[in-house]
Amino acid sequence: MQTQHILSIGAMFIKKADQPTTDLENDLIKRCRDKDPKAMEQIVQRYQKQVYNTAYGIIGNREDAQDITQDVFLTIWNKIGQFRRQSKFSTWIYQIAKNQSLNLKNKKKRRKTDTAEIDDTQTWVPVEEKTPETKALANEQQKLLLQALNSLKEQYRTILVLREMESLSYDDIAQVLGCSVGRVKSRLHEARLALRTAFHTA
Amino acid sequence: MDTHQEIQQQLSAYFDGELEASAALVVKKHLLNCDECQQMIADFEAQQGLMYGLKQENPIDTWSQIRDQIEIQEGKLPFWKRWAVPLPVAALATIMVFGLMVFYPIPERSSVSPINDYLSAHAQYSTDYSIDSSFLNETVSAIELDNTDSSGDTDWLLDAYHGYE
Repeated sequence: MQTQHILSIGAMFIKKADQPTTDLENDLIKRCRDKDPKAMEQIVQRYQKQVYNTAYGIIGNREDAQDITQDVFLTIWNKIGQFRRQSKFSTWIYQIAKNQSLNLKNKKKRRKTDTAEIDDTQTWVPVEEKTPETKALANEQQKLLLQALNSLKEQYRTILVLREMESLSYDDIAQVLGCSVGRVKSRLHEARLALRTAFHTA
Repeated sequence: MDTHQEIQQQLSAYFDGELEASAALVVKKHLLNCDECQQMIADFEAQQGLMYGLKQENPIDTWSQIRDQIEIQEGKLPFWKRWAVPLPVAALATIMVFGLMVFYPIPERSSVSPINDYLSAHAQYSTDYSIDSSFLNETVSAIELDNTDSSGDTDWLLDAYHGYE
């Protein structure tokens, strides 16, 4: 029974985000290029959660993630003319979010101002509401998870955020990271093993 | 035949449903008899669940902030918004300046010029030491003609009078 359950897991997370740029998105992109703020508003509403969570997962600080979210959408507004449709629109947005998050993180590292990268002092409020008992347990586990994530290499953390939090397909991750699907496959496996070790250590 | 290690390398891709059907079948068979690999898959699942649980809604209204930035860029910010910050700041600064003026009034400056200050201050000196008034008048006239900066005039005048310069 348990084995059956385990074996079915693989099918549960297949390419959730692997949808082509839709007609609606194409329309929004076109209107956004013509500097229509209403189109931009729709783009923000569609993608702000993904951008915020990607930034948060990589940086580990909520305020910085909010700033990055704003910066990402301003970049989209200013540079939408540079979107060449070689990738999906969502992938392009993830790419900008990932780059800006890593830039900020590296800048902070250089300045050595960011002593505690993970903001684990605040209580987590998961998207899905839970009962008080499970919530307490989940908060404790998430605290440990954050410590473990914080100890990982940058590239491991980034790929885990894209896959585990954002459910991107291997193809999409490869485009966001600018590497081959084979590299995604091996790096993701290494990252999961590293997190597993770090999680047990924490 | 794939070894245990080789299959372990495939577990992540299997877990994500990213393996070819034939490779997935090999892993599937292996899992039936391997507790270690089953545990690894279970850990991956737990980690994924926890990481997914980190997802949150952005707590701030991103669009309103971006809209303001866009309007600033495009020069379309409404008048009241453009002055929403600078106006209260200017008002506060004005209040502070007036407050300082009320509580710490600036002392009135003497209407007497530095030269006249000198003349009054040395009136007594003149009587005591009989100043040569013609020298004094000439020097004062010279300074008034020059009239650029009289801040050090009194010192210079005294020195000149006493023959130091």
